Amino acid sequence: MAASRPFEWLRRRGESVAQRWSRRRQGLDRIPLTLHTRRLYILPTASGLLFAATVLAILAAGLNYANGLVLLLGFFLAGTGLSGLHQTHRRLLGLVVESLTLDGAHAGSALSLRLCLGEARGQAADDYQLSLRDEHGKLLQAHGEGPAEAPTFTLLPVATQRGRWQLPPLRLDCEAPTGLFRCWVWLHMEASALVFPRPAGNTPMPAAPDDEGHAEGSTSGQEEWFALRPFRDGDSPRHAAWKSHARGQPLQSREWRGLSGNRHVFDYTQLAGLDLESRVSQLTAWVLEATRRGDSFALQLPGRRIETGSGAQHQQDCLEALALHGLPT
Amino acid sequence: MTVAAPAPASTERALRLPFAALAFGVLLHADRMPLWCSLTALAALIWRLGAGQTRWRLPPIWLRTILTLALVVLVGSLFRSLGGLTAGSALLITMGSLKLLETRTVRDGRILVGTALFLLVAACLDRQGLARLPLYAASTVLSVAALLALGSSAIGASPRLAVLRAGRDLAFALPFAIACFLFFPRFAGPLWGAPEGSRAITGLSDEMSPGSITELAISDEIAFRVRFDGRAPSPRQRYWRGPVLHDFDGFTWRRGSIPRFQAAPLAGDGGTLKQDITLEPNGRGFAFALDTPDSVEPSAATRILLDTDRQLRLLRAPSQPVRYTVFSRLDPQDATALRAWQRKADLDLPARSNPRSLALAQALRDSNPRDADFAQAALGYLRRGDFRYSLTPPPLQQDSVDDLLFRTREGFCGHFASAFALLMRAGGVPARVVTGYLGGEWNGYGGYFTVRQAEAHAWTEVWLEDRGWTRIDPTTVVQPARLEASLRTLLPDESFGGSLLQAPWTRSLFDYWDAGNQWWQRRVVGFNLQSQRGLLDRIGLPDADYRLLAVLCAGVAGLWLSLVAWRLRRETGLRRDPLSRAWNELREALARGGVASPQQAGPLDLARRGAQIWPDLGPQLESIARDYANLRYAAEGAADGIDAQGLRHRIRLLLPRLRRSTMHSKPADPERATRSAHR
Amino acid sequence: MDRLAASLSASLAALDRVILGKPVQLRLALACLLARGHLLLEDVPGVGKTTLAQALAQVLGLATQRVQFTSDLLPADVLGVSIFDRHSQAFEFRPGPVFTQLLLADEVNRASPRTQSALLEAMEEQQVSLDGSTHALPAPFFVVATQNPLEQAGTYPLPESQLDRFLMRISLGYPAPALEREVLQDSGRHARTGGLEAVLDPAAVLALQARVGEIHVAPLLLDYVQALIAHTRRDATLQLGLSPRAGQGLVRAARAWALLQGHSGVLPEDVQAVLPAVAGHRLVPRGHRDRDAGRDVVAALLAAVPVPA
Repeated sequence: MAASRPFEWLRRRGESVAQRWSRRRQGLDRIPLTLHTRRLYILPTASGLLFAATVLAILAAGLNYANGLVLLLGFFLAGTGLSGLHQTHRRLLGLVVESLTLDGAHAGSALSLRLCLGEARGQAADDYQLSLRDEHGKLLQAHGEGPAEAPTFTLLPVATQRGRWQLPPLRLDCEAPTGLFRCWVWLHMEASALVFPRPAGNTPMPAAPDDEGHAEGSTSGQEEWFALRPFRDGDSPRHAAWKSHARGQPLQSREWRGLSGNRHVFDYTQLAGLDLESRVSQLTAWVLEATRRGDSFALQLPGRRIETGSGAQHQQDCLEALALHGLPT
Repeated sequence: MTVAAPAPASTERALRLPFAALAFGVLLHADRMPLWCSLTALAALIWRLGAGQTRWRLPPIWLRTILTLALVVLVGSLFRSLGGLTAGSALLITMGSLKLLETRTVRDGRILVGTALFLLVAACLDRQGLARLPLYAASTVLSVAALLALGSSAIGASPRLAVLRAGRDLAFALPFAIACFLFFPRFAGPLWGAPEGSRAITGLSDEMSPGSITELAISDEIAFRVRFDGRAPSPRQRYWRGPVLHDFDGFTWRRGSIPRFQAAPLAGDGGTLKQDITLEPNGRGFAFALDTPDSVEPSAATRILLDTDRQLRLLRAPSQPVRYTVFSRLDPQDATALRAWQRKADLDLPARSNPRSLALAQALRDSNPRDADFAQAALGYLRRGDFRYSLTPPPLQQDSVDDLLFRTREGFCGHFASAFALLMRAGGVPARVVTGYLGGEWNGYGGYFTVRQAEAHAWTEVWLEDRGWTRIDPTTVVQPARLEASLRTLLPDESFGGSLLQAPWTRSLFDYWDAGNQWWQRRVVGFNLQSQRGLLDRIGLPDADYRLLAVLCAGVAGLWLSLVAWRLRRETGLRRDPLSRAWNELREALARGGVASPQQAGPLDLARRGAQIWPDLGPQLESIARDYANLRYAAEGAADGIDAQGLRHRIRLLLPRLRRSTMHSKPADPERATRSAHR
Repeated sequence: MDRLAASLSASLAALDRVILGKPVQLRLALACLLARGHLLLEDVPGVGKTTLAQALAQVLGLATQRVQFTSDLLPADVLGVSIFDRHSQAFEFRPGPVFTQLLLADEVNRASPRTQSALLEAMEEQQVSLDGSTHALPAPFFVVATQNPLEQAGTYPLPESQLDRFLMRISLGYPAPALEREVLQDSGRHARTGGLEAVLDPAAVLALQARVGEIHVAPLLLDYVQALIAHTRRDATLQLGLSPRAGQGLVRAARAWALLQGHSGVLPEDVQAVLPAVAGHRLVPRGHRDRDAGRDVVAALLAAVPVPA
């Protein structure tokens, strides 16, 4: 809607000023954080203003027509509205922000932010709402979920740039129970997540140097299983640990590791003719693909080498290195 | 705009209460509104509920636009306005119904609640009786419950919880509402026009034809209530004067267009009777007082006029009960002479009507040259003529008086008054018909008389040169008992359809209720500037102006808000044990001094870390922590010698010292504190 | 201070002399045994796991057996076997090494899952069921198992459900440089452990265990423990929160720790002290194969949950 644009701009402007002011006033927040009166802000909502106008109109009518009944009604409504102010405020007061987790993701996909509250006094978890503005100014909002006394929130902001994603200020608000007032609090927490490069590129994966010609996937005779992990949908039933399942344990999958699996070296310098981002993206694609296949690989970046390895932790290390490569620290 | 998706289930659930609130608002007006209005609302409600439950489609935007325009035009044409109270309510109902059809969001729901509230206000402006109070209270609770249901999903899921919460919130608001009601500054007069009453109200009108008063005789509605200051008149003196009629066309009496002025007080020896009258709205601005009104109390003079007909008129037809104070005389002496044009108007008779009555009058006049004798002769004719007093006389022809006197010989008060006045005029004596009430019932609980529509009456006044206008009631000649008793006792039961009000005990109950209602109307609904002044006088603030009142109101509001806060605090269990509060304060003080995350530390650990930053306070911190740990965590016996109150006191004493040293030096080496935290 | 408490501190002092620079791990191990829990020592070879276990056994004066687990070890090698006796024409039960007061199960993850689960069932039930008859294990009965980190080839890591049977898991870690030097100069561990004398006896250990049960647990402390557990169940980064059994174990371990510290009631500090050892192997973060990540999780948990006032 075109008409609302200037207001939207004004609103956003005011919001960012208020945000910065609260940052200066409160300083950096550390978890766990108990919300005290000093940091709670409360204002009527649009509905609250409408309600106030209604009550004023009723009072004016009562005064004008000297009708005590109408006046009494107006004062009752005014009193109820005002007690709503306290009730809304009370829902945030004493609340504890217990934990915040930020999970990384690849550029272009959503990070996962999870915030857990404790000591909440709302009627339901979704009385509370958490919101943030992402780097494009888009407002992301989530209602609380879970038990009423400990709501949790999940926000999925999308990061476009690889590297460290700094958590913007979060806003926690509550309009319950009347919807006439909104009480909110700014949370300025220092937290960041790694944004891995976007996997892209179609350069073929460099062949493993030591056993060229060895066909992939035919190493059945030289594998051994080495770990159990919970069975996931899609796992081959052949890999299921039926014996332990028969003993009454949860269904698990055996993880196999190729003893003589392919060993690659992914070298940054080999990707000539591409710019930095494309190279990083290509390497990321290779790392993911190799881990998916269960291959071992080493990663060679200018100024950093990650030795041959495999598995989830190895992949994590490589992705972290790739995420931060070439960025100012 | 496309047909929007249905509301999510939780919103749909929460919207049930706004629907109910609106429906209740419509119900408050159902008996006053044309049926189609309520039916429109009902149809919209069913449609909307159907759309929520099943897959019915809500009307598209073009249909809604057409419906809106059609309904506005319909209301406008039916009520000939869109502004009055009734038309406004009808418009609210129809527009609210249409809004129902597009209600999907919480915001729409709030608009419905607003509509319901305005419907409630309209109902309050319309009728304020005590009997309506439970309805209004229910409507208020329902509206607040609807607001709460829209504000929180948990409340929205359970209408019962919403209603309970609303009741609780309104109970919280009670002291605030009462205090503001009593002390909020009032206006001296209205800022804008009062809503006009446009509905048909039973009561006397400004014309009288045979049978018109008969309609009133079966109405139990109250016309007005009178409280006498001092002695009350005897039953036969209880003539309550209303519209005075001058013009006669042979069938109907009308007020006529003669000029009327403000009347001067009367002369008389008997002194005046002061009456305090609460008049029910009668839609016409007529006011009543004991015959004959002498003067109006000065404070009421701006609203009420006593004219040369000795008739009281309100300057504005009210829609609510009106109170005024009037002085009357039982034996008035009107010294003002009758002017020529007045005499002419009160002698005027329609040509070529009622010829036989004119002839009768002529015959009586011929044998009685004195005006008073002539009047007595005419009364004698009525007395001897075997006339019957009846609530259901046969209908009369065009020459109504001829028909009554010579054919039917059966009539009600209006018939006889009309006939007598005609005879007088025909005989050259100025005469006029006065309508009003005769009687009144004493309400012992409230100490006042109740005058009902059933006691409507008509009589005549004739001009006698030596006495001025003199009241003559021909009905009492035909049925002398009417003077002493009410209609009910005079007429057969069938006329009233066996009303409940005849049994003595119901009568008493009714009186009791009516007294309560009166109190409500006078003290609550009618609580105005004067009542407020009276109250302020009594509590010792005789000259409080609006500024003082505003301060008083604000003070009450502030006090009340802190009470609410305190109450909520208790309810939500935030009020901790004092020792816990002290301990928390200590933890916060340590945090300000640079101890990292003291909230997560046990007492002994905390003291050790505090001692690293405040070495001089170390021993005290440690002793406090040890005692606290013993009190809180040790077995029963271990904490015997420790006094919680004393410990609290020690913590409180330590706090300022911690703060002071924090301010002086900047010891906050967070690194060190953090390291020790994770040691 | 009564005799029991005195001998407890004496045994701690003796242990401190043998195991250098590991006072916290030593006390945790002792607390674990006093809380009637089994102990899992997990670390790379050669940091003194076996030394610690042997030292414990000697100081507590317990009968001890040691089993080196290998991939070809059979359940019967641990539990015992029924042998047909020609003379009596009946099966005779030959008890295995598990019938002792302190069983040192070295490199428990080298054994096949079958053998592992046989041992773990005996641990849980304090008895051995074989061929339809049950044989009670002596009291007290402890298992101190040692384990190499998972990445070692040719091992069968204990699944989470079996890890839960161990009250605590402790890592020793490399000694500090100064202490390492001292170790290097030393002639050998046998010289050290050989010089140890039993300070306690089985009866004293049982009495101490009974005393652990008497340590007061205040409602406020239970609030704290519950808040900790609830937080792990809410935490989205964890695969699984702490089980009720883990909660019980936590309180028991905290009581034993409080006893060692001389507290008359369990303090939040006691819970915090044992929490890494008790919860570290039970909390596995989502997406990590690395069980060591549990340690960071515990640190985050302690930082997140406030101590009630």
